[in-house]
Amino acid sequence: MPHAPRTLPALLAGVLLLSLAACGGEQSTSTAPSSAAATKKITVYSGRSEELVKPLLDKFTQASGITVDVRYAATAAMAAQLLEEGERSPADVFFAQDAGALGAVAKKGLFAPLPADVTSRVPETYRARSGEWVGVTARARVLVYNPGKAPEQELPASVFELTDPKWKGKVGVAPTNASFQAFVTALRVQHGEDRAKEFLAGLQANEPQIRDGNGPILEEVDAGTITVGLINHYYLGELAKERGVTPDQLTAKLHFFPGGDTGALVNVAGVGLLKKAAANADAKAFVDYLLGAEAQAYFAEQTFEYPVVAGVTGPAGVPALGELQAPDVDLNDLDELETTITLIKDSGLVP
Amino acid sequence: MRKRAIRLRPVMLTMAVLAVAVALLPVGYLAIRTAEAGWDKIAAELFTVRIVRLAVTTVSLTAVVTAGCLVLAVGSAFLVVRSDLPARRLFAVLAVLPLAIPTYVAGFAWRSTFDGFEGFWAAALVLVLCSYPYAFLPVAAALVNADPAQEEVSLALGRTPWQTFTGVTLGQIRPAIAGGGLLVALYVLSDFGAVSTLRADTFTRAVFVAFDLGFDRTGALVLSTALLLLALVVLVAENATRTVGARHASLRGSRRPPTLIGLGRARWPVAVLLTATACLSLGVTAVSLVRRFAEGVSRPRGWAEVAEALGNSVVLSAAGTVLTMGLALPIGLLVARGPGRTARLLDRLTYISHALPGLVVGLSLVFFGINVAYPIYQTPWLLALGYAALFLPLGVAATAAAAAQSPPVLEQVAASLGRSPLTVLRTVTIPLLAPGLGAGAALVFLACMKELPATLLLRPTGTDTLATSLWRSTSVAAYAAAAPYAGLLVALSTIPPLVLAARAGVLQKPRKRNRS
Amino acid sequence: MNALEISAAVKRFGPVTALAGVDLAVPPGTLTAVLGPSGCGKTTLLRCLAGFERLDTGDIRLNGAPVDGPRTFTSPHRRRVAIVPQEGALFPHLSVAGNIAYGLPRDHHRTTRVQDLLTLMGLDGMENRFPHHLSGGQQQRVAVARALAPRPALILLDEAFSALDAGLRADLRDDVRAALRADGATALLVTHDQAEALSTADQIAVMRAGSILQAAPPETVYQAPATPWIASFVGGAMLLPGHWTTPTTVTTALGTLPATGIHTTAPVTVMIRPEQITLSDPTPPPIPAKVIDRTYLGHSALIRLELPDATPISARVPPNHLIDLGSQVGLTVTGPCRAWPASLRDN
Repeated sequence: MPHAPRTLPALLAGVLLLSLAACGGEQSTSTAPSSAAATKKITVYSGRSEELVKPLLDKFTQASGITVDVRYAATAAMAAQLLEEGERSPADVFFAQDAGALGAVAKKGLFAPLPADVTSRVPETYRARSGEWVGVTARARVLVYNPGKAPEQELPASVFELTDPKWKGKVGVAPTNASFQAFVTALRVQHGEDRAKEFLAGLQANEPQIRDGNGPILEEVDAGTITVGLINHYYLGELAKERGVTPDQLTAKLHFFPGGDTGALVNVAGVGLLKKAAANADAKAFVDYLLGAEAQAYFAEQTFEYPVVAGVTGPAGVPALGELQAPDVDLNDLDELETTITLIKDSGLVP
Repeated sequence: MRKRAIRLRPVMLTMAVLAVAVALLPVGYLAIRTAEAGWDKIAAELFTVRIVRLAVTTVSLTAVVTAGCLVLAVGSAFLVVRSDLPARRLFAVLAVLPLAIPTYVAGFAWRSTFDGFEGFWAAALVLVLCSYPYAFLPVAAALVNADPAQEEVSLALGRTPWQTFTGVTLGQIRPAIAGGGLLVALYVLSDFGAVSTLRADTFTRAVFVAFDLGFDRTGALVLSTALLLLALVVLVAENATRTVGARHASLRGSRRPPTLIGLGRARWPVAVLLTATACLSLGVTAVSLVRRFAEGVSRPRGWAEVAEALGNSVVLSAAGTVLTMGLALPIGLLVARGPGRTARLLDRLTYISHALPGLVVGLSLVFFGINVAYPIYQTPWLLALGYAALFLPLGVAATAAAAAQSPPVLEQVAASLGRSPLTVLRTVTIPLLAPGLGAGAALVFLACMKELPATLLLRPTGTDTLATSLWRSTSVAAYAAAAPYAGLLVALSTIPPLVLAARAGVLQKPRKRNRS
Repeated sequence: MNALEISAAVKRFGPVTALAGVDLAVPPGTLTAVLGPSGCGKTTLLRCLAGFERLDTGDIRLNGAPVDGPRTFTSPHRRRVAIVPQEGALFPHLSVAGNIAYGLPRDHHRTTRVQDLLTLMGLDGMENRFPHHLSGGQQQRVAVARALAPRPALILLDEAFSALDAGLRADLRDDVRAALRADGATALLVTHDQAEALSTADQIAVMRAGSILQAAPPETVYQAPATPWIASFVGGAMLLPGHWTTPTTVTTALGTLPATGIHTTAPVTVMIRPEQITLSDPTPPPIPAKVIDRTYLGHSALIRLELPDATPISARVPPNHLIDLGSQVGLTVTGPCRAWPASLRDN
C-alpha cells in the first residue's frame, strides 16, 4: 500500500470537517425562504445575467435601502424552477430574458397583476394585456452579416429570402433560443401556420449553421466562418465590450429587415410580481425602479437594449426604436407556444 | 430460527435503504410528474419517429464512447503500469487530469478551435477524451494489484505476451473494466455539456431543448423517464458481465510488484502517441482558455469575489462529499460484507439516477425541498443532498472496492479481542478503508466542483461557486472574466485526480525487469 | 470447574447439519486439539465458540457462565474468546505493538503487558515493525501474542500453523505451547494434522461428521482409539477381520494375537499399528509375506507387504533396514492389539 496518500485522506477529512462547520454557519446567515418580506428585503429570480443586472441592483439598493437577494440562472431553467416551486416560491419578482418565459409562468397563475400606474408607463405593445408582466427593455431581431462575405447591397429585404438556394449553408440560426421561438410564433401570427411551416422547411433544406446560442453565431459571422445569422441586436454590443472596441469596429454588421418584415420583430425582456408579493411595496418599488430613467438609461448604455419608457436615449450605433420598421405583432399573441414548438420540432431544426 | 449474531447489519441495512431513498428521489419525482402528464401526452412524446432517432443516437453515442474509453483506458493503463515507457508517472498523471475539465468547457474549446467541429463524432471524440479517466483509474488499479504469477504461468506454458494479455490479464481486470465502462456509459447518458455545445442529438440534449423550447417541463420529464429506461438496460448489461462472488485480498505475505515489459524499439513512438493523446485531451482546452483570456478585456469584478467563489466551491463540494460518502459507506460495506440479493439490489439502485441530467435531478430536489423539506430549501444542505443523489454511485463503487480489499476476518479478530461493533468500525474497518474512501471522496468532490445545472437550481440564493461564476461570465461572452474561474476550477480539480492516481498505485516507483 | 463446557451443541445450515450434538469439556490452563478431516464441522464449532454463529440448540459455558444457550447469547466482543486465524490476520495499519495492544485497555499496564508478550513470543525489538515487513512465522507469533494480551477465557487457534513450512511449524508450535503454559491460558486448536494434534495438545477431541467421537489425552487416543475410524485417522493403522479365541486373544490373518476390547462371539475388527510388525528371515517363516513397496521417511521406512491371501500389511522399520522389492519375508507382531465388534468397522 502506498504511504504518501495515507496522509492525504486525513488532511481531506480535516478540511471536510471544517467545511461542515462552515456550512452550518452559512445556513444560519442564508435566507430562510419565508423571511423575505418581513425586512426591507426582496428576493428576485433573474433569468438575466448577473454581469448585466448586478451593478443596477446595487444602485437600487443604495437609492432605496432595500436589500435584493438575487438568484441567477438561465431563463428557461428559472421558469422551470418557479413552476416547480409554485405558491411556496421564495421569489417576489421574476426578471426574465424573454416574454415567452413570463407567459409560461403567468399561464400557471403564479403572477399577481401589476398596478396600473406601473403598466401605464410602458407602451401596450410591450406588456401583458392582463397586466401580469411588463417589458423592461426591447430587443430587435436582426440579420448579422460579414460584409466581406455578403456585401450590404446583396442582403435580403425579407427573412423569407433566406430559404433561397443563394444562402445555402450560409445562415446561422439558434433554433432552441427563446427569441427564435418568438420569431416563429410571430411568423404564424402574421402569415399563418402554413407559411411558417413552409419557411422552416425551406430553412432546414438550406442546410443552416445551427448553434446553441446567438453568441456563437455572432462570433463566427465576425470571424467569417458563417456569412449571415439570425440573432438579437444587442449581442453585437456585448461582443464589442468583451473585445474592448466599439460595435462599429467589429467586422460583423447588423442588418434590420425593412418594411415591417417579421424578421425585424421587436421582443422584450420583462418582469412580473409573484402572487405573494402582490402587496409588497418593496417589490413594487423595484419594478418601478427598473422602469425609471436611471435603469432605462443603464440598459441602453450597458446592455445595448432599447429602453421601453419614453424620453430615454437609446443605445448607440443602432437605429432608434422608433425608426425600426418592426412588424405589427402584439407580444400578447406570442404566448401560444405549443404550435410553434411542434412546428420547430417537426422541421428537424432541433433534436 | 434465532437472530444472527452480528448486530451491526440491521443498522447498516437501514442506513443503506435510507441512502438508496436519496438516490431514488429523482426517480420518484419523475414517476409523479410523468403520471401527471397523462397517457395522451406521454404517448405523444414517446411514440414518435423523433424518439426512435434520439434513442438510436443516444445508444450509439454511449456505445461508441464507452468502447473508445475502454480501449484508450486499458491501453494507456497497461502501458503506464506494465511497460518500461519513459516518464511513466507523468503519463499516469496526464491520463487522469482530463477529469478536471468539465465537458461544457471542453466542448466549447474544441468548437471554437476547429471550424465546423460538431455532430455525433465530434461529441464522441470530446466525450472519450474527457471521460476515459473514469475507466483508466479502476483499470490501472486492478493492473497494479493483479497477481503477476498468473501471467508468468501463462508465459511459461508457451503463450505469447499478446495471448497472455488477452487470455489472462484481461480476465484478471475484467471487473474493473466492467465497472469503469458502467461509469462511463452512465456519464455519457447524463452528459449535457458536450452534446449541447457540439450538437449531438441525444436524449439529454432533447431534455434541455424541451426546457428551452416553450418551457415544456412535462415533455422534458417524459423524455427523462425514457432515459432512465436506457440506464436500466446499461445496468443489466454490466451486471451480466460480472462473475459471481466477491473476492477478498489475500493476506499471505507481501505481494510482488508487477514486472515491466520491455517495449524495445516501440518505446519512444508509444510515448509520442500518449503525448498526442494528452495534447488532444488537455492541450486543446488549455490553449483555447489561455487565448480567450488574452483576447478579452473583461475582468472579474475583483479578486475578493473570485476568492469567495473558490471558498464556496470548496465548502459546498466538501459538504456534498461528506454526505455522499456517509451515505455510500453502509451500501459499500453491505455489498462487500454481505453479498446477497438485497445488497446487490440496493447497490444497483443507486446507479439509476446517475444517468439523469443534472437539471432533472436538480428539479426533483426543488420538488422535494418545496414539498417535504422546506426548512432546508435553498440551503447548502439541500444542495449537498442533490450532490449525493447525483454522485452516490461514485462513492459506493469506491467503498465497495475498498471493503473487498480488507478481509472480513480482521473484523472478527477485533471482535474476539473484546471490541464492540462500533469500535471495530472505528478502529479497524474505517482505517483500512480510509485510502479507498479517500479516493472515492476525491472523485465525488471533483464531480461536485464541476456540477452546474443542479447547483444553479439548488444553491443558496446569492451564493456563487467557481462553476456558476464561469457560467455567469460565459453566458454574456465575457470569456476573459471567466478565465480565472475556469483556471481555478481546473487547477483545483487537478488535486483529486492526483490523489486518485496515487491511490491506484500508478505513481509508485516501478521495478524493472532485466531485459535479456 | 472446566474453562469450557459444550453440551449437545447443534448447528444446521439449511439441510446441512454442521454440528450434530457436540459435547466437550476443556480444563483450565490446557490445550485441546479438535482434530478432524475437512468438512467435519470443526470450523463451525470454532465460529460458534467465538460467537460468530449461534447454536440452534445446546449450550456453551465459559468458566461456568453460559454464553450460548436457549435464553442467552453473548456477542463475540463480550465473550473474552480470542481467535488466531489461519494466516494471522494482523491489522495491516497497526505496528506489531499496536496489534498486540489492540485488545488491551488503555492503562499503565498496557506497555508492560505488550513488552512481556513480545519477550514471551520471541519478538523482542520488533514492536515498531509493520505486518508486511514480517515473515509468515513472525506474523503468526504476533497473532498469538495479540490473542493472549487481554488474558481471554479461551484462545481459539484456527489451523494456526498449517500455512507455515515444516521446520518453522514445529518451532512455532513448541514456542506457542510454552507461551500458553507460561501465561496459564486455555486454548483450543482446530487442526486436520494428526501429528500436530498428538505433539501439541493435552487433550485431543476427534471430530467426525459433526460429532466428537473421542476426547482424551493423546496417548489414549493413539493407543486406545474409541473406534476403528479413529484408529486409522490418528496415526494410521491396519484393520483386519478376526474373532476372539480366548478372552485375551484374537485370531486374524496374522495369527493369534493378544488383544484388548469387549469380548463377544461375533466377528471383530482388529487394529494393528505398523510399528508392531517386525520383519525377520523367511526361514522358518512365522508368517510369510511378499515385499510390494518401500517408502523412505528419513527417521524410519514404511514397507508395504502382501500376505499369501492378498491381505495388505504395513510395517515400520528402521531407515537402514535394506530390503529387495518382491522378496519373501517373515512377520512377527509384538504388543497387544485392539479389537471392536466388526459391526463398528466404519465408525
